[in-house]
Amino acid sequence: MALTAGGQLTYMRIVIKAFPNHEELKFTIMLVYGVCVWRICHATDTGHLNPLSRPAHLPFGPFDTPHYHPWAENRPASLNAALPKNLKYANFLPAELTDFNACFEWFCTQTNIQIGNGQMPILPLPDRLL
Amino acid sequence: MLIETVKSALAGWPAPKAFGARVVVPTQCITSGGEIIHVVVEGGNDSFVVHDDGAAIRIFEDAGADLKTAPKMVASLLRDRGLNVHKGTGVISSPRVTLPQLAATIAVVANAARESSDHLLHRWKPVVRKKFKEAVQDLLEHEYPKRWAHDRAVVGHSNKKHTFDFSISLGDDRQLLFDAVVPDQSAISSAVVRHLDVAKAHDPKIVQQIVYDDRVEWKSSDLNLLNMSGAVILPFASAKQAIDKLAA
Repeated sequence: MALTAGGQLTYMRIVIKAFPNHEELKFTIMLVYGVCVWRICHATDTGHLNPLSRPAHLPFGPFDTPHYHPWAENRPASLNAALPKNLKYANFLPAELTDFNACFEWFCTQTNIQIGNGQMPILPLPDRLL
Repeated sequence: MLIETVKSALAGWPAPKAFGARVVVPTQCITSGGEIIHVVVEGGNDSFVVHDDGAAIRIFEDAGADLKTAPKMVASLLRDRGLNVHKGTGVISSPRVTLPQLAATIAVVANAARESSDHLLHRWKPVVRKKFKEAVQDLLEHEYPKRWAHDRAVVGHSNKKHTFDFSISLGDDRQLLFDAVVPDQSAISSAVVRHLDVAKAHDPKIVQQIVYDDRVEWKSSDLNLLNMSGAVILPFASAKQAIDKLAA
């Protein structure tokens, strides 16, 4: 999904990865500008660990439940620095975000993205019975 | 006793979890970005296969990367290690192993996945800008699905057949023909000739545009040349608005 700002195209994209045949609700929502700059990982079979040198307000982990990697925690200290290839810092997703729509709307709020009418993505349904 | 404390602490690490017939194991292998490698064990009795379920590639993709050659790069990195790498998906898997080999195989596969993921990230050079024609194609696919086509052939005033990069159906039998042009002399010249010849045919059902890559610097003389083509010249950033107006 390409994004516009003030009616002009930006080079940012929202990328959503769905796992329709997975036993649990599993998806990833990413904001990509060459590299991923914001990500929600909604899964219990993946995990993350924050660095020991993390900011004090971030838990160490391990994050084996839904979590997110915000730009604010991962942006480089200097604006002249290259964008980081890794989003090293994560936090637990608020507990009330239990479905895709709630997560996607929250993601858009956090990233100041407005989704137009009829542009709400829909996760694909399972394509096999077992 | 410290040993008991350590054992107890280790027991606090996320435990393996069953998903149907598969068991997902959160290992203690962690990528440079802090991702915990999970591997999957399948099988039973005394025969098991351990694989990373595509974790190495997934972690790489979650960084925003999109590299078709990633599975091949993983296969090359893990050559001669006794592991299998699926050509299409890049899933790293072990051969069948017995129960006494299972724990070590889990460690081997997890470490291979971690190493592969870090290797891919290290080699990857992120590009904010796609190739221009790909970027235009993405825009068309997103904004005008099923209404656009590429490589549209049209006969010009000279009777010569020209092929335009893209066309969009505007309704009422009208069509927009346009080229996506980068600041390259041959690309500019051929676009100008194409558009001049077709413009001279005065077909009322054809609208012509040249969209130029405004992400890079242009000489004013090149833009002037494009302006002589008879087509409307648009920077990429404004293309959507202009096409929307035409299609309204």
